[in-house]
Amino acid sequence: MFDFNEDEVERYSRHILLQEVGVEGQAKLRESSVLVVGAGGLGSPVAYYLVAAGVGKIGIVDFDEVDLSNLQRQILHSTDDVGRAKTDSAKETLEALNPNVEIITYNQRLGTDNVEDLVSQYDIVIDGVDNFAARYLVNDACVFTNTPLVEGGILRFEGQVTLIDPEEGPCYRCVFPEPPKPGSIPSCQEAGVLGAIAGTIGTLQATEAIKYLLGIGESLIGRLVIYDALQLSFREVKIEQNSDCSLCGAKPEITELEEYTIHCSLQEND
Amino acid sequence: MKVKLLATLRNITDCNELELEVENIQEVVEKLIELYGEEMKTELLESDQLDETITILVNGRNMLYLNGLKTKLKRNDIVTIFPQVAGG
Repeated sequence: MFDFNEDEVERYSRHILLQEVGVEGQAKLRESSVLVVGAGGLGSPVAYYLVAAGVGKIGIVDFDEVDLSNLQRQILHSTDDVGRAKTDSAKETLEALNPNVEIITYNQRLGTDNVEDLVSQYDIVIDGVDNFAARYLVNDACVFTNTPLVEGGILRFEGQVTLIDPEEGPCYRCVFPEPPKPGSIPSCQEAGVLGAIAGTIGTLQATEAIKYLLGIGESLIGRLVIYDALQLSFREVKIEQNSDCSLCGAKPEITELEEYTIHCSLQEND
Repeated sequence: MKVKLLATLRNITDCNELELEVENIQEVVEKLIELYGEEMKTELLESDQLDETITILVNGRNMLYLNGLKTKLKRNDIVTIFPQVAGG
């Protein structure tokens, strides 16, 4: 009925054993598509686990090249990949992991001209960017196209993750209304990040995407989880859809995509 | 009202939440600085203004959608304070 071949049944057997997944759920994953924005610290574990899980189509957007300083956390890439396009390096690694998954790469910078078209081609989007320009752009595009978004951010020893479903919960701007002034929030490049934090938060993002695609468990809609590695705590903040939100509120002020300027030449998907 | 401090702020206070009796958000910020000194001031303020990295929610709503620092607080309100992180 679900026409998995023998190798696929073996590959996904630990999923199929799960009552909440089973053959039917595994088939759902195969029919699903996820866009991973950024093949960096967060995008690496996200893409790894989604490809391993057998999600049928994975899109990866990144315009950057692999740098030696990326390798402390961006586990899709290896030492030999330094200088290569991250999308090429990512595709090679992921295809080696699971050739059954279609990997579509977009070696381009997201902008107002392409983001809505891109996100609307996928069932769910995962944010792994490292600057506010892209973060607000992805959120706004997902709200405009009604595309769910797993939002995640990391810095130093901390991470945050939530699920945004424009049809039923708060968007990023409900919690963080406007991008901070340029330079007021440090990037990983400026402030540092423990590499494994990207793994923790990225893995949570991948898990939430899989839960969403399968329709199982309690979703992160309306809940922002804050991870503090030094304390080893996960704390949850309830967040509400805001009727005054400038994007998804009753009288939105933002009715078209805005392009924010990146404040310096930082790498986008750090 | 209950004030919950997360991430780097929690590491300064060494406790997850405290009870304060104040009138508005501005007073919450002042009280935290009074209680925890220079380290808290450095986290919360930038050039004597609330640092843009700091997000303050009142019952799950960003204070910027309410009345900002002048947002009045009631006894049962929950104020949550944490820095926005956006690295990836």
